Amino acid sequence: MTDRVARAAGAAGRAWRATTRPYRTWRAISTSFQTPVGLTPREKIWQLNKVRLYHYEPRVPKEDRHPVPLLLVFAAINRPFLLDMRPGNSFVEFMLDEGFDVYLIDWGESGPEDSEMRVDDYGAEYVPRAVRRVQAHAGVDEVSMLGYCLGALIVLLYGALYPDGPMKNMILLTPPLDMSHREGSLFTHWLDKRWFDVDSFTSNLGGLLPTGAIENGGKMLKAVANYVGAYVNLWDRIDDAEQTRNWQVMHRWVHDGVPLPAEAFRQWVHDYLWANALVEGKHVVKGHRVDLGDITVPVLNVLAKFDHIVPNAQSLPVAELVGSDDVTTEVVHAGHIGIMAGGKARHVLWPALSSWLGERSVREEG
Amino acid sequence: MTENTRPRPGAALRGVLDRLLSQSSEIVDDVVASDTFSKTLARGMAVTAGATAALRRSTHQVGEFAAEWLNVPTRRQMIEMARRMNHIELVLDDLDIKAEEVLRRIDNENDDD
Repeated sequence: MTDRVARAAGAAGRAWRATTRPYRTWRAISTSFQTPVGLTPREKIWQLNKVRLYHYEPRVPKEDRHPVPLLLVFAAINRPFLLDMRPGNSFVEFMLDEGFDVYLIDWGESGPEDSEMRVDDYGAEYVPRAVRRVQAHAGVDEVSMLGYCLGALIVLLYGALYPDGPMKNMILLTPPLDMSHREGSLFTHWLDKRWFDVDSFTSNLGGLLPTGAIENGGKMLKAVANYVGAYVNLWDRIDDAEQTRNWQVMHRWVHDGVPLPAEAFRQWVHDYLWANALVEGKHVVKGHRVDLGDITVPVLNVLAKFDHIVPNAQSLPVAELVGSDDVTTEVVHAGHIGIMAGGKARHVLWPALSSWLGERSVREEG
Repeated sequence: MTENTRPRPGAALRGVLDRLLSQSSEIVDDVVASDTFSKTLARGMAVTAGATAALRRSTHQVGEFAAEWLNVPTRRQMIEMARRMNHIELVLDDLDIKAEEVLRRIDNENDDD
């Protein structure tokens, strides 16, 4: 009798879940923008224009902390909460637990008044000021930096412009550096100068590259997977509350981009993509030629093996171009986003970053 | 009939969907990697940006005219003002940094004394 009741209850539960699955899937999609993200306690310590510098509340007593703080620099086309998704699944939280003092640059949302901002301005105008604030706030001379995607490019630029410090260590995640390698890169193919007139395009944008262009460009790289497969995945995992919440966070992140100043996009296409000027040693910022060979701090260059946004060939030359004796190249079996936000990131990349950085976060004597 | 041998039309349908997604993904990936697609995409972007630019410019002109007529700041003036504010912020930040350096040097000299 009891078995029969249990079987009936089980069948009723399955029938209920199957019947409500379309509604629950739709609800998960439509409420994904309400999913709380970036919850690790933090304090804004500096702001200039739209750029904000945050300091995360340490989770380890001062005497147990690494003496060199870590400054995170994310790409200027996305929100940085990919680094601080949810409690229990947050890179920032992980690094705080590992004893690092963590700071983050949030580029904010550009407005029409920022339409003349260039990619160089991020690395030459804002990062140096943010680094000074970190030094003053933490009471230290040296700062380690981690850049992700375009953020890695900005960190490289800053490192080459300020080779005498105060950067202590440089971590680059999937840097889009050497654009002479175009195999496997749809972005570089789509933006090829044979058919794409960037000057005419940007002059008609009204000052900002809209988020829709960036978002759909990214999604078209794997069109069926992104436009259809992502929702099939949600349908499959809708009974698992934890996985559904993680899906919502990623969905929110993908669809919550920020506009890029049109001039920044134009300059990136002209100088970084078409001329490959940074790699060729021909890039000039504020009258100074940028030489990546001037970078002598320890460098960790992390590549994603299945990266369809920044092919490994574009990131690998970092090791040859920087002047550092201590360069480590790591290839992680994941995609461009998966290396930091995938299910295995917590067990693969995050501990590797902490270990590499921990060994090198020792304050110089004297 | 046991549970395992019971026909499952849902599973069969799902199998078809999965195969369809996988194969269509390969086809679409080939299409977006072609020169023809890149050329079409570039043309599409240029046409869209050009068409919306004309609409945006005429809307701006009407807005500017209306704002001037009402004697309130126009959008262009507001953007220009925001740019000046940003520039002032940068200069103030530079001054702040210099002031900190001066204070640090004074502190160091006092410590030496």
